[in-house]
Amino acid sequence: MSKLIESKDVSVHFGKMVALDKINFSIDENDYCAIVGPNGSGKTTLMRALLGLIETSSGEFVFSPNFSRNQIGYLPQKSFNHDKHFPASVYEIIMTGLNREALKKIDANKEIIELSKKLGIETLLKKRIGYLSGGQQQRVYLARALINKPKLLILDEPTSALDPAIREEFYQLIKKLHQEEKVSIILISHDLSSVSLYATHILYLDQKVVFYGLSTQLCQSEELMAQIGPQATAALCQVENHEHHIHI
Amino acid sequence: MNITSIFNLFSYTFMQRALIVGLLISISSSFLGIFLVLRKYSMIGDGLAHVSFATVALALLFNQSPLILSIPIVSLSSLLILKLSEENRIGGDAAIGLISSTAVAIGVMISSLSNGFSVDLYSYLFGSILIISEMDVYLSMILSLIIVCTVLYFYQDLFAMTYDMDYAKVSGRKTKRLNQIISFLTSITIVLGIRVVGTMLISSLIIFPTVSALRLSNSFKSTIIWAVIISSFSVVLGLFVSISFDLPTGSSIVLINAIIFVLSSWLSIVRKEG
Repeated sequence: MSKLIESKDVSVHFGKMVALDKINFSIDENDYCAIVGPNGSGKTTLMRALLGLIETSSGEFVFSPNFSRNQIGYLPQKSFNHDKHFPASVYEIIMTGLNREALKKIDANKEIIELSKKLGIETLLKKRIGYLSGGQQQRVYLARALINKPKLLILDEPTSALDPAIREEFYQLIKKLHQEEKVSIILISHDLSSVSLYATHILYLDQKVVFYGLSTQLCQSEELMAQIGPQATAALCQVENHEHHIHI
Repeated sequence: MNITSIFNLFSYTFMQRALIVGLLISISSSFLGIFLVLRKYSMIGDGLAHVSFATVALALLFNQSPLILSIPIVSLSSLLILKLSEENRIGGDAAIGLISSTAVAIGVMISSLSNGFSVDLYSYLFGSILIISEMDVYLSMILSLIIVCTVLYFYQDLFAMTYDMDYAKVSGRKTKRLNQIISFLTSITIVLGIRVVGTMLISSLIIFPTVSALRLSNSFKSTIIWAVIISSFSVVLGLFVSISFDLPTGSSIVLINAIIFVLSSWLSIVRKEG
């Protein structure tokens, strides 16, 4: 597998506060990496730095020569525009995922219709974005992230506002993208029990890297045990094993 | 005054100029309004209008054309507002307040040095169709064309940025440059508009038609079209009313816009209830 991105000693400071301290990890092609950790552990900050939305204080993200930021699809944590009355249709929102260069290369209308069929939102294309349910909006923003055919998809707490049934459906959709479309995934979540079912790698973050490796090795991690304590680790891994058992 | 005599007024050159410049401003401001209003950045128009007050005072002091002097200074001020709000972690509203209050202070200082508020300065404060020159008309035509063409060319990028600034950046759009373009175009619109509605009221031409249009339309594009219709209608009717009843032009246009806003809000409520 060839490497897409490598985070080399990335630190982010907000004034005197250290948000991220020397973060090292890498994403290979076809990885499904879950970034987990408690609230305020720097998960979103790390992704915003990777996307170039905030500057790093030190360190760098090294992109492989055949990969660039333009090939990343991004589904943010919150729907950015909270104005329910914003006069934009679903079609127009998906279209914003294509920049000037992309628009020259593809038949945008055809791509949007095809993608919306795949995601089950073809009947919503003319509707106003603000009038859709949380689950429908999430699919629209996923379509916007996918319209440019990204090699890497970053999802920041994508299911936090969804009810459990739709949450599971959403995870299955991401799994399908990962397995069938060969899109690499970075999924930020505080719900380790859910994401560990699908992720190939886990990055446990708490301002610094507590654990980074294969998801199957998480429960053997001494660093994780030292960080969150043996009881919490046992509880976490019990939940994880239990969830695995249910699905197997 | 009967209808025939009102129409006869449009045979006068000053009225023709006022109508042409007024319509050009209404189109330009409507094309920009939606990008400023929806990003909650509409007060930049007000701030830049205050800067234009200072530049008019300066131009009158040195007996220069206010339009020529205002465009570069107001444009630079708009970039300064952007820089202050982006890099120095000052909120956009605070940055506008800083620049506009400083500009008004400078304007008042200059006007006091040149025998106080003259008739000329007063006419720029509240608008006067009598001060529109032939050169202003040609300049307005060129600049309005630039504004409309630029917005149409960058439409997709500006729309993306207005909806979600972060995603616009992630998708590879040069948001900093787009912000500068919008600020520059707003500066030009403000400077053009002070001839007709004055520095004190020009920002209303950016805000009112868009806010009214938002209540009537369902999509982004139709909001711009509605804003152009509302703005053009208010400018034409405002000119008629001001001439017919000998009222100030700027105030007439703005008050008609305010009435349209009330009507469109009422219509929007009726439609929702229906």
